[in-house]
Amino acid sequence: MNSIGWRISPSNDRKLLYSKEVDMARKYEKSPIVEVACEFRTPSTAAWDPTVPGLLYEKFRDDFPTKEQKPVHEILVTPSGKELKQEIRSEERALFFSEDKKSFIQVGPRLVVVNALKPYPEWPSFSATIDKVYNALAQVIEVQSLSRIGLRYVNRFEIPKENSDLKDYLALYPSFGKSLPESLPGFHLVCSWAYEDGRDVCRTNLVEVVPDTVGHRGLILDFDYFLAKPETVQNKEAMKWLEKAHERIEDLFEGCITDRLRSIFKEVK
Amino acid sequence: MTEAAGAPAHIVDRRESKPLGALDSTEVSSWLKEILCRQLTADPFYFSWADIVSELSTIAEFVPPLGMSCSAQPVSLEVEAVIRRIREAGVLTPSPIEIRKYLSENINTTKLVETLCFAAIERFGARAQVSLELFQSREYDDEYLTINIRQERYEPELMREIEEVNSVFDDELSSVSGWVQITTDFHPPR
Repeated sequence: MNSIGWRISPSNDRKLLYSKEVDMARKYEKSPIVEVACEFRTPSTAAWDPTVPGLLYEKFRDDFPTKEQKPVHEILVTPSGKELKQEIRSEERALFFSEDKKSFIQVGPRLVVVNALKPYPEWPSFSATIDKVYNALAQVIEVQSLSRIGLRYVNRFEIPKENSDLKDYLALYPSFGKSLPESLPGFHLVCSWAYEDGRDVCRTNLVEVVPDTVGHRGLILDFDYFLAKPETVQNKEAMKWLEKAHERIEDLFEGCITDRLRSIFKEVK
Repeated sequence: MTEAAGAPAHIVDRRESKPLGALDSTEVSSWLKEILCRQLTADPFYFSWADIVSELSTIAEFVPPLGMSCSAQPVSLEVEAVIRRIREAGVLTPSPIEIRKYLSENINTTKLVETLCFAAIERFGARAQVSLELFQSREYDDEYLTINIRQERYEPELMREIEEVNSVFDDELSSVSGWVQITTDFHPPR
C-alpha cells in the first residue's frame, strides 16, 4: 500500500525522510499472527550467574508479575580441537508472565526471550517491551555484544481444502510433480533468505498442521530472522537491528501470500 | 545419568521398555540422538536442538552453522508439534482449538500432556479409544484437560489402572500451572 508521508531512512540512521511513496505495513482484521518472540543470547564468555533471573524479575515485576518455571533439555555440540564435544544439559527456565498471560519473558543461562501471544500487540508496543527488557538486561549484566538476536513471527491460518490449490493463497508453496503420490498427509517447506552479506538470515517455514475446521488445511507460516554471524552486532545496535528485522519479516510475509489469502485476513484499509 | 539428561525417571524408552533411569550416559546420548533425528526429520520446528544435528549431512542445510545458538522455541509451535505427534500416536483430538487455547495459557504443561498421552496410549491404546479433551466444569468455573479412555465394554479394573498411570505423574503435575488427567466418562467410543 503506497501513500504520501514520512518514513525512517532505510540507512537506519533514524533520519526522517518525506516521500510520495511509502510502504506502509498492511493491517489485517483477522491477523494470522499467533505468536511473536524476540531472543537475546549473550556470548559464553559473558558474565552470568544464577542470581540473574531474580535480578531481572525485580526489574520486570510490575509488568510481568507471575512467576513460573519450565524444564528445558538442551543438547549442545561445540568444537573442541578436531572433535565435537557433546553436552546434554537440563535447566529450569524462569518464566515471567503478564497479568493476562498473553505475554511473557523467558530467562535461562545467557538467554532472554520476550514472547507475545495472540492477539498481536502491534510492533510499536512489542518493540517497546523488548526495549525495556533489553535495557534491564544491560543493567544487570555487562552486554558488549550478542551471540544471537532473533525475531520470530509465527502465523497460523486455514484455507479450504477442496477445489483450491496452495498457489491460490500462497506465493511460496511446495510443488509436487504429477508422478508423485497423491496421498500427502503433510509437508514442511523450509527456505533461508540471507541479508547483509549473510550476517543475517531469515528462515521461513511453511508447515501443514492440524486444522480446527473440517475440510480445511491448517498452515503455519513462520519467519525466524536471526543474527547468523555471532557477535557482529554490538550492544547499542540491537534495537536498530530489530527494526530492520521486523521490516524484512513484514516484506517477506507479504511476498509469501496472495490477495486471495489477504481477503481471508480482511485487510484494513 | 537421568539427572544429567534431564529425563524424568518414569519416562520409558518405548523401543525397549527400559526406564531411562536404567540407561547409562552413552545410551541416553544415543537415545536422544535417535529422537532428535526422528523429530528433526518430521519436525524441523525443533531447531532449539539443532546444533547436534549439524553432524547429519542429510539435513545439514536446515540447521545453522556449528557453534551458533538456535532459536528458543515459540510455544505455539511446541503446541502444534505436540498435537500432531499425539494424533499420529493414535490419540483423538475432537477439538484441537480448545487444546491450543488451554496450552497457550498453561505453557509449562505442554510436555506433560504429551507424556501422559503417550502413557495412556501405551497402557490402553490396544483396547480402548484415547481422546484428549478440554473439560469445563460449570459448577466450579474451572477447566482442565482430560485424556478419556473409552471402551465398548468397561472392565472392572479400568479405574484402578487409570489411577495407577496417573499416580506416576503426581510430582510433575504439582509443578506445572495446568492440569491434565487420564480418566473415563464410561461412554462408548465416539
